[in-house]
Amino acid sequence: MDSKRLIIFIALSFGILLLWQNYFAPKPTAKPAVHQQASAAASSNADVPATAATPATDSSKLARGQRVVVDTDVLHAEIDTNGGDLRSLQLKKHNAAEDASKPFELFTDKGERLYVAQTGLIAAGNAALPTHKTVFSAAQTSYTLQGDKVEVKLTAPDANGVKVSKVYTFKKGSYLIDVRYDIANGTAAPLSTTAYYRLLRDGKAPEGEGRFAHTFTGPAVYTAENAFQKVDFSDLDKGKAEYTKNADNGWVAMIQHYFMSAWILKPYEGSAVCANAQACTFQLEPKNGSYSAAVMVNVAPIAAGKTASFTVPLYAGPEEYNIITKVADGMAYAKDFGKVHIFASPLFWLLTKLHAMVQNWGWAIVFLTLLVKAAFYPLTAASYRSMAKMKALAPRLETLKQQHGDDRMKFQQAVMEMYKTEKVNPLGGCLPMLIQIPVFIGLYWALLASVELRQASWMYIVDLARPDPYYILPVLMAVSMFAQTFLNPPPADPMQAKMMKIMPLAFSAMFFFFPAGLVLYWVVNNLLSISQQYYVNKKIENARKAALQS
Amino acid sequence: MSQLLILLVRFYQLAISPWLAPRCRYQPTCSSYAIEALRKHGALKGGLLATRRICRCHPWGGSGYDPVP
Repeated sequence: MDSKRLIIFIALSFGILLLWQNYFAPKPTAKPAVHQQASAAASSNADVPATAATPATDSSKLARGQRVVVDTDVLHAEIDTNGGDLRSLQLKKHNAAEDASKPFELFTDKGERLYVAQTGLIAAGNAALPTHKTVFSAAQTSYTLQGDKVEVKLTAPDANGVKVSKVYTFKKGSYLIDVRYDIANGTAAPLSTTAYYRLLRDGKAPEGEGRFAHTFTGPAVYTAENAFQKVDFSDLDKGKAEYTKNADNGWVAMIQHYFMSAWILKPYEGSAVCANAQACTFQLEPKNGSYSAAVMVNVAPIAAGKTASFTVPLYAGPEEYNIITKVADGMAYAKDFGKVHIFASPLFWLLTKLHAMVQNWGWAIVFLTLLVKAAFYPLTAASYRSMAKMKALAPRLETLKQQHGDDRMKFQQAVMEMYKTEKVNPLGGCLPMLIQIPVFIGLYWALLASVELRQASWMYIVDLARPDPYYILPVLMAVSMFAQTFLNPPPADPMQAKMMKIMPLAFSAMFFFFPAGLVLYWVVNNLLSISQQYYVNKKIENARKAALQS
Repeated sequence: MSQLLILLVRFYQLAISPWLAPRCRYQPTCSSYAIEALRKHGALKGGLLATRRICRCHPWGGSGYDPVP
């Protein structure tokens, strides 16, 4: 009995914690530690000495020079003349998590945040080659895309006779930015150099990360040989990260919920930069409180007096299936479905097919839930039938319980005996149910990871990736759960009965803050279960009435 | 360890199971069986017994009274 009390205590405190967190906790301080502090807080923090506790602010160490602004139809980029880094990148077609009126900012070095793309050249005999610290010069301070592409050429100061320029090419409607080095070796000796391309990011979760829906943030590598490998920031800190280091294809990326950036060694249907290079190496490491995901390309020696050009594309944009699958092989893995990848990825594929038919993500979710439910219909139909009969037998169960008192064994045998005489078929069993669970979890992850649901509208909902603005779905959810309590046979355990009254409240409180698309799936799933159950209940009742009358 | 597993099963019984249609073909149910097995035989053997019980609990499996050995 003591353990029962303990469990009541745990369940209730869990419920209270959830409620408290959502309703009463002051929002900014509820976030754990300094980790999640939004950049907006930075200015007010200026006079607080406690900020010294965050050595992660590498951004202050990135020298700030002249900014070159690039505008295309989908991107707003800022390139710093220091290193020719890509320091800021706004996605015009996507809105910010915290403020939907602003564009989404993927790269940034504002405030406490740091997420930039850097490149550089190193050579043993020539320390003057431009690195990410060299100050470049550009012909203009602002470029705007007209036509299909715009080139931004950054010129490095002469490096002991070697002329280097770094050229960004932005294309219309594309999140793929080509980064090209043009090198003219004006010296008398061949030049052997290593080009490095890295993504430097702080370890913070993206802004607006859901409290109940945590997703992976961190670096990842992909190669055709060893497929997709993601690495936790904490493993980098401990120095025990495991990933493929030598590769002549694939990509290295920084992944977060909905968005990613990646240096592409081998573009989809393109040739790999490593085909002409001597070696390519991936390198993931912590860097002054931030994390670097890099690839090193050992460029083939450039003979004296010769020139060479090589390009490594940078993808920086949404993890949108139809886009990333055309960027490079294996990019679909960046949509991180967690441990349920095998279930989630076919379900997501089905979702895209449904979307192609109905042209609306909300309806696609409804139909996908319908399909999955239909697929499991044979498994569940039989048990609903048996269940309806059991519900009718519930009063007799109670008398049996009183008869046998504490003798559980006798009671259980008597229950089985009663089911036999009343011709209640054995139920479907626990195994089929357990098999279904990963499928439904997979469906949940498929929806959670889909940037496609972002800014996708359905009925009155403007954005399926944000909470329901009028809380209609969470309320529907609570109502449908209450309805279920009337349809299910009352649980024999009084504890269970109590929990059944508490759970709808706890659940709907949680669902108030869930992305509407996920709640939509859950509500549709629940409504389908209820109608199936209701239908079976009615049928059996009618059959019994008919039997009584005859 | 077995205490932790029992707690997990108990959580299932209290928070999840009521929302699913009753489906277990046996008495005691798979979850009660699991708890009893874990108490009697510990995490390893009890867990194994519970797993085997769940694997028997499908439309072509047995049914009826099946207590923990």
